[in-house]
Amino acid sequence: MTGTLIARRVLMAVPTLFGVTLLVFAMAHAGGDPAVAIAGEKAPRATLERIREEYGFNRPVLVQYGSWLGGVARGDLGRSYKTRVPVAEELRQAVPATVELATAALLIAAICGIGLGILASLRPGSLLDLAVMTVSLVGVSVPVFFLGMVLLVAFQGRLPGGGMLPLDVEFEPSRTGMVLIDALLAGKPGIAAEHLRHLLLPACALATIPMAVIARLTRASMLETLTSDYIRTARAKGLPSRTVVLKHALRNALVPIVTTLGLQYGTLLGGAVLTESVFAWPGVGQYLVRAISEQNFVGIQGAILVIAATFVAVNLAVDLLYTRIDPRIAHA
Amino acid sequence: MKRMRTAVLGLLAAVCAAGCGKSDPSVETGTIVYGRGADSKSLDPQAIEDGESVNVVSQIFDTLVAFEAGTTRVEPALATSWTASADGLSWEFAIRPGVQFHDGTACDAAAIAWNFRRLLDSKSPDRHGMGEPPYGFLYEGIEGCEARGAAVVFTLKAPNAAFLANLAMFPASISSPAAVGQWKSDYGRHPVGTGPFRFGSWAPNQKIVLEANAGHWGGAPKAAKVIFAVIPENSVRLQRLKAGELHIIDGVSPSEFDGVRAEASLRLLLEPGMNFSYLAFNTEREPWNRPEVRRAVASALDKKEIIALAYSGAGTPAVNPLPPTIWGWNGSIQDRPYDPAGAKKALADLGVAGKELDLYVMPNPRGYVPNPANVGAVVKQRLEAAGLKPRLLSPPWEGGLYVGELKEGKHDIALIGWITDNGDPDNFLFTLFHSSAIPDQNHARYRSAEFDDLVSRAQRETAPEKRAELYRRAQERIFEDAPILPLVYMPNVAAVRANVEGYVLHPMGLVRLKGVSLKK
Repeated sequence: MTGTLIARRVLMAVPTLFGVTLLVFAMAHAGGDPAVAIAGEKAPRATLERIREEYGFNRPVLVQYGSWLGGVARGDLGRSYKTRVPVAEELRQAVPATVELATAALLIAAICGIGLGILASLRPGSLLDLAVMTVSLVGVSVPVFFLGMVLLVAFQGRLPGGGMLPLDVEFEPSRTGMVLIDALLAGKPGIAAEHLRHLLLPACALATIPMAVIARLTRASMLETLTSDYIRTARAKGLPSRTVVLKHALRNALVPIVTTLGLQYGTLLGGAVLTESVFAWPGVGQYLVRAISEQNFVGIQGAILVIAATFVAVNLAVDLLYTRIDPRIAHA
Repeated sequence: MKRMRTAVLGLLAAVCAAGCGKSDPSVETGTIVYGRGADSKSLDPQAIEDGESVNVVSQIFDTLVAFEAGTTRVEPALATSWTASADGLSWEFAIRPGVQFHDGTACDAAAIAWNFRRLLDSKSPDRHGMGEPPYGFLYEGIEGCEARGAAVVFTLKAPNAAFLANLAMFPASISSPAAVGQWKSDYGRHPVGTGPFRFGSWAPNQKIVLEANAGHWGGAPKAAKVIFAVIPENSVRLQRLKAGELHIIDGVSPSEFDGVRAEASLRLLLEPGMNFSYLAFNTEREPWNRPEVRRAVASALDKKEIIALAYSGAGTPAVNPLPPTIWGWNGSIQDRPYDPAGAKKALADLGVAGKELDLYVMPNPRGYVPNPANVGAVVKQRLEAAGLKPRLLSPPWEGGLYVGELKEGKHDIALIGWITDNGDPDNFLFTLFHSSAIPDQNHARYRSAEFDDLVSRAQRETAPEKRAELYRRAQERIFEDAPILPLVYMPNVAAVRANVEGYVLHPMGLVRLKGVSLKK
């Protein structure tokens, strides 16, 4: 059954991704002359003409699209106009940084958000509930850029203000691309620890919004579940409150929370543009922003395609996770 | 489970311990950290056009001749001396003996000639897919380049007085032929030159590390190591400079000047630059084809007001289309006084009161205008006060859209500017106003046979004083005809930690870190 579900979802993803490529290609090429983007606006006409010839910009747009799509099918996202490095290679370096940041942020958001949501749901209307809801409202409302700056100033001198490692440390994450895992695999816990220190502030800044969303959702979901008959029965049986809340209520309340966590993770993996900019985190978001500002069309197309594919993959994973939490969904 | 918990606790303990008792180790290790907004694109000098790449390349490579500190005159570098033939078509450079690339190979006349062949020949196999050099156009006047014994000889297609200045520019940096052959299309990530610093490592979008070349022909650099760190946000970069994580930063916006000045641990460096912003009248359109209308508009604007509102006070009113930092600048021209009432009356007398016009203002900050929207607002207001009806238009800058519309002549008046390529007056006056530059950079679409003759003669003239005189007369012509209204000369800016010594801003915006050290 699960195999059929996966196959169906993967097939559904193909037209979605195809649509994304078409849209992104059209949008990227509506923005101006790529030859000027490559050579700069000072370049004389003859230089621009040579560049159009060299890159094939003088071919019909559909032919250019077909050529790019053919490359994508072979795993070749093209070469960056600016760096002349394959886009796939540049993204291979950027994606692990975003995965690390997004995962750390999601962990913080899940642990704190679910914890706060449960606490608030146990005493609805209490001062604690009010405090949790206020914090979550602020969390959703404060712009990440502003929060990042506040964190930078507040922790100046105590926690690093950006980057993945201290500037004087040389370490190349060559196995998974993720510094934390590669440093541990290489037997360098000192570097892993330094990396965690660098990860802390951006992950906290990035976690604020999903944490607030999860806290509110957990509270609402738990409040609904805690008033169910089977919970009343469990309490009547004399089960300890801890068991009732964590074992019986939380499991049922988790379904919408997992959905939201999955969607949030997909969004976070799409590149936390502002957080990555503030904390100089070299992930997909920063890559995409730079590609856009440089009119690096192949970079834009490659990055958005990877983001879209990630989003689709995470959604698929969430769907599969449902079936574990609530087996009825698999049969629906 | 227990083991995992122990591992997590151990890691957390290490995290806490790693943060304790840290002090800036840079002073002891002699490491200079330079903070900038974006990463370099490539470190192959011939493949680049962006400042972030040029700033790093300038540390790794040498050129045949170099710009003197503080000026745009050239001095010997890899060439110790040079001579030009009487007709200005042949130039011979004596090459400094005994210089080696960072990979140990010899930087001799043959290697240098090889570099220029790679630059000039679009079919050169040594380009290894590099593509068209973005700044190759500066060298299109070179017919050929060959090694003759210990000398390199250039043959030019026509006399070109800016030739020497172009040789001091980054695309003319000398790479190791062996390294280019070894790394091929990946050479831009593994550059090898003869400069004061050698390439160390590159973590994309994070940092580039350079190490001192103690055997540099001009003496060893003072710092042992230089790190170019990427911090995209201006305000964050400044914050990290204050925190002591960086030593030098660029991209300080004028609104932050007072904040930097107020910090005892920081210094703000401001030096006159080689740029200017201006309003270009479309002289092919009625009524801007009449010089008297253009001169009247010039009196309607207060440049000091623009500097106060759009440059946060940083900048100097521009009079000529050539900044005072460049030789040949005509200091005797007195600007037209700000006279709003007189301008309004003159425009009414000329029959253009109530004239509707398209005022183009770029949406993004440029090196010569940090806040174009404010400039546009002030200009619009003053033109309205003078009885005109301007309509603001801001096509996107990216992809050449803004400049593209100017090249098509869609504007009545447009805000634009120029930053020098090579520090030569020709790069302002010929490039921006010669009739052959329509529709490229001559956004005013200005045509004057007298002006064309002056700047063309200056291009062929090799005697510096005679050239300067021709350029002074050309500026008088521009002032009289007023095809443009020069607005502001923008200074070059950097902020440094107070303990940084020896960092001097070059008027061309060149970053030179060889003489920089940290005071203990």
